[in-house]
Amino acid sequence: MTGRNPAKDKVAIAGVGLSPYARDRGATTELAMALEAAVAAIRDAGLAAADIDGVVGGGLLTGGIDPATVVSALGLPAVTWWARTAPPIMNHLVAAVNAVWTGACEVALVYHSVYRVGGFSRSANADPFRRRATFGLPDGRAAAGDGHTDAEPWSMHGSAGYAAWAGRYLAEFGASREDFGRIAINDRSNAAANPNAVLREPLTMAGYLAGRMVREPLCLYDMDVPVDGADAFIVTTAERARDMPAAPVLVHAATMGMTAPPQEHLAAGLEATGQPLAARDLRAKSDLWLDDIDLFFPYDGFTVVALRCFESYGFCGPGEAGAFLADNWDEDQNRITIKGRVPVNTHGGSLSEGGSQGAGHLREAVTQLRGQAGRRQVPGAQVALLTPGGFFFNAQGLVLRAG
Amino acid sequence: MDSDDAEVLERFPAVRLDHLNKRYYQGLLRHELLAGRCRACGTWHTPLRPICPSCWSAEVSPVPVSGRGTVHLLTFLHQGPPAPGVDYPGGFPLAAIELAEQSGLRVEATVVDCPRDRLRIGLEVELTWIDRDGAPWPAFRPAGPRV
Repeated sequence: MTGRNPAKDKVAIAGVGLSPYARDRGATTELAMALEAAVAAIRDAGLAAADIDGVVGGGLLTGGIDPATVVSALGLPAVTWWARTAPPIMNHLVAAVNAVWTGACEVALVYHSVYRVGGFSRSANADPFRRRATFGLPDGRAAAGDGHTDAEPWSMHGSAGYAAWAGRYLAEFGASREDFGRIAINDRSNAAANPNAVLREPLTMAGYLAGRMVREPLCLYDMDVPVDGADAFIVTTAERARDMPAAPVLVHAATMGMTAPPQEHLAAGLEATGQPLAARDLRAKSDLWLDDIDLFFPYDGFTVVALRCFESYGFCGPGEAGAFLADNWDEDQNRITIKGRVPVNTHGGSLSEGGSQGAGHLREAVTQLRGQAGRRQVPGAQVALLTPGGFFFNAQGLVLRAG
Repeated sequence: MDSDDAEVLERFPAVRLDHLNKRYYQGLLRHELLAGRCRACGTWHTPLRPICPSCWSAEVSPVPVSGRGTVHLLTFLHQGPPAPGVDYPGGFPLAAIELAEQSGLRVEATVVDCPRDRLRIGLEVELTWIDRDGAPWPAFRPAGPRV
């Protein structure tokens, strides 16, 4: 761990692009969505193909689109740096920030796509082309990851691991499912004002508690909603971003955290995962912290991840997040408002906008810090804290500030 | 390829076997649950590794464990891919068992022969075996009296 942060405020996000999320976009391809987002982001930044000299991205379920495919499909004439990265989004963003900061490239295109594949949902499995898009072995088991060659119902890799630690959280702290429910309800209330969110109907606590149990103690509403869609970002120097059309958003501090052993079933404890490590490292790198933020985006691929973020990042002590959310609950808006001021996952998060491994959180943070979030806009928002990724092998943290 | 390799490849056709992990699966065929053990520092590890994760010694080898442990993590799966013998509507238990040999030494397995109201974190369990696609796999059941 290092507190060094020489790139602080030196690199900016200067463009964003979206390929809209939907529960099922039907007969499209992952590449089509990634390119739609990429072209939108490049145009948002006022750039053209010849300006892009860095390309980085990837997706989860298919293994994602290779940078060479993006370079080919967009006809990028001169690229000097590229990398293929696995989600969550900070793998992409940290790589891009470092490449820009070191001079490996001047303008990086960052792309992230989600494409529902066979085995991931019933509707996706009904599409023979999506069955062939699955990454890994034919039965859906991951191709990568030692110790992860077995799948549910025999392995805790992925969703079952979060369910198992959610159960241990409940047992260890005497917490209740209502504590998880507040994360889900907050997201749903916020999603109502986000046209990109796929779930916008209000959710009550009674409705949450009646949700179909999937991986006990996690129910349908505790797990992110599968979508098709893509996001893209333009990353360049803060200096250059100031000459571009959109208001720059500065990368103030960024980090990632992983501890041994990172496998779900072997992790020493919630206090010893990558999430608290990312929190400590981000704290050491950032001049701005909890009292300075206007927006909080705890990652919520599973409710327990977001709930634990409030503890790992120091809003409250271990096991106190449920009470903290109750104390900071806005009854009128049916959502979390920290100290009556800071909203949480204003776009509806992974649980209601759609599961995109933090790409949606990053897009919403940039949109808010530009002042372009419409009905969702937090007036005068200047600083956002994001915690993409989960507990184990993909915890990440980010502080963004308006430039 | 020797005859032992041929057998493990045949009996575990869906496993991504390699020249290290095959020894774990060969152990399953003998009804032995193996974990890696370092002869230099004595530390256990799972899954099998080429060097000791604690001291980096290459003097590691698969050693049978006692099969006694406690339920450390537990979830009940109510849906999932179809699998023989797996009852999703009833909530199929998937646990991480902390083995008696060492704190943090865990394996993933289901728990059998245990009423739902007894099955919880902290339950003492012991190794048993179930059949998956014609091969033996480890599972755990409530521990009987120590003999």
